[in-house]
Amino acid sequence: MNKDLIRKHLSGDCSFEEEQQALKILSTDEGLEILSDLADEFWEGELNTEKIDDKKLYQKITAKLPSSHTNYWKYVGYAASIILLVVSAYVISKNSSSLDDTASSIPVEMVSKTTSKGQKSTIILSDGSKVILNSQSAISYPKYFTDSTRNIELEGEAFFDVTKDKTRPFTVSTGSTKTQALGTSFNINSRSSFHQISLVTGKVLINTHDADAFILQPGEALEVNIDNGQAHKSAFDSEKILSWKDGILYFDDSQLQDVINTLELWYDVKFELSSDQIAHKKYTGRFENASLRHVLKSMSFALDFEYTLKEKNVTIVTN
Amino acid sequence: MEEKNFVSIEQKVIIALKKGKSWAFKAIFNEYHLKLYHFSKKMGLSHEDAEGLVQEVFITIWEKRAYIKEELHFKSYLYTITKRLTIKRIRRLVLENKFQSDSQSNSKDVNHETEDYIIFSDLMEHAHTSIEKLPADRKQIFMLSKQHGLSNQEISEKLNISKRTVENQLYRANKTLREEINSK
Repeated sequence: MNKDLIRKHLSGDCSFEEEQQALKILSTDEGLEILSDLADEFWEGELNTEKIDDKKLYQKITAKLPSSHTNYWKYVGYAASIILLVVSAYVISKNSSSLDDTASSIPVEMVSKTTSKGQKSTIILSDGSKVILNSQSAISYPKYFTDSTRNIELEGEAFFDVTKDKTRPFTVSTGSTKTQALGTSFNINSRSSFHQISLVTGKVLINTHDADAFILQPGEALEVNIDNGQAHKSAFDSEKILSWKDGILYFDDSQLQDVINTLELWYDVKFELSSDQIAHKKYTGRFENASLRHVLKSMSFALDFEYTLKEKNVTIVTN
Repeated sequence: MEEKNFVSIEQKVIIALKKGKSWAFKAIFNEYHLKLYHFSKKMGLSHEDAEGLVQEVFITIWEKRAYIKEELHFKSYLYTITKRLTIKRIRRLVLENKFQSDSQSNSKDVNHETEDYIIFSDLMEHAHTSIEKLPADRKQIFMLSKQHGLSNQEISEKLNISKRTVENQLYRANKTLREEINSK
C-alpha cells in the first residue's frame, strides 16, 4: 500500500527502488493526502522525548523576531543574571507583576504565620485553601483575599491545597519565582537555592523570572536554580516529597547528612558527628509519627553507630 | 459577570502572549518545542530541518499572535501551523530531489544548471578518485551528463538504454559522490 511505502520512506527504511517510487508518489496529490494522514497519526501518537539544546534554539528564534523587540530578546537571551537582579529589585519595589491584576491601593490587613524547628502548622485561608507549613518556614498573606487575586509569600517549605476559583488566581511567591494556580494542590520547597515546586493535582503556571515561564502537569516538578534563573522539569517521587505533610519521615537512599538536616528541623535538635566519614553513608527508612529516640535507634542498627541524646543535642559516635 | 475572568492556566498564557509578553512566548516554547522537533523528525526531516521547522512555527506564532483565539484549543492551532509548514518543507525537498535526478532534461531553471556545474567542478577538484571509483557504466553516464552536457534523452539514445536507467544511474552517482564529499 502506498501509505506504508511513504511511512517506510519517512523512517529511512526504503531500498533504492522503493525510494524512487516513494518520491514519485510524494510529488502527487495522493502523496499530499498520505502525508496529511501520517502527520495526524504521528502527532496523536507516541513521540521521542529526548531533549535537545533548547537554549540555542530559542536564541535563534528570538534573533529572527522583528527589530522592535530585538534588543529586548537579546537581553532576555543573554543577560539572565542581570535580569534576575533587575527583577528582584522590581519585585521588591513594586507589588504587581504581569500576572497580577493591578494592586489595590487600599491597605490590606496582612497575616504572618511562622513555624520554628520541630513545628508544623496547618492554616486555612479565607477562601478555604489549606496550607500545611513545614518546620522553620513562614508565610504571609492578606487576611481576606481581594476580588481578583490571592497572593501569598512563602519562605521555607509548604504544601498547598488550593480551592478552585477561576476568577482569582492563587499566586505563591518565593523570591522571584511565582507559582500560580486556579485550583490545585502542590508542594513548594524553597529552602535552598534550588526551589522545587511539585504538582499533585490541577495545573500551575510558574514564572521563574520576567521572561520565562513553565506550565506543570500533575506528577511533574520544576526545579529552579535561583542563582542563575535556570529551571528544568522532572518527575518526582511523591512519597519522598510529600510524606512530611502527613507526619511521615521518608528516606530513600538518602545521604546521612541530608537525613540529619531533616531531623534537626523535624525535632528541633542539633546533631554532632564524631567523624565526618559517616556523613556520606546512605540510609533508607520510613517513620510515621515516631519519636526521635525510635528513629535514632533504627538508624543506629542500620548504620552501625552509637548515639547519645541529651536534651536537644544528639551525638553520633561511629564504632 | 465578566466572561474574561473565567479562564484556565493555558488561556492566561495565551492572553499574555497576545499582549506581547515574552514570558508567555517562552512558556509556550518550553511546553511544545520538543514535541514539534520530534514530530518533524518522525516526518523524515533531518536534525537541521527539524530545528528549522520549530523556528518557523514559533516565529509564525509570534507574528500572528494577534489572531489567536484564546477560547479555542491552542494545541490544535499549533498543530495546524506545524502540519502545514512540515508538509510544505517535505514537498520542497522532494521536488528538489526530483529535479536533481532529472538533471538537464528540463533545463529552464538556470540556477539549478549553475548549481550542477558548480557541483561538478567541485567534484572534479575534490572527488576525482571518487568518480574513478564509480562502476564503469555509471561513470560513463555521469561523465556524458556532466562533462559533455548531454541530456538524459541524448545519453539514452547514444548508449541504447532506457531513459529511466539513465535517470537512475545519475541519481545513484550524484548520491554517492555527495556522500563521499560530505564525509570528508
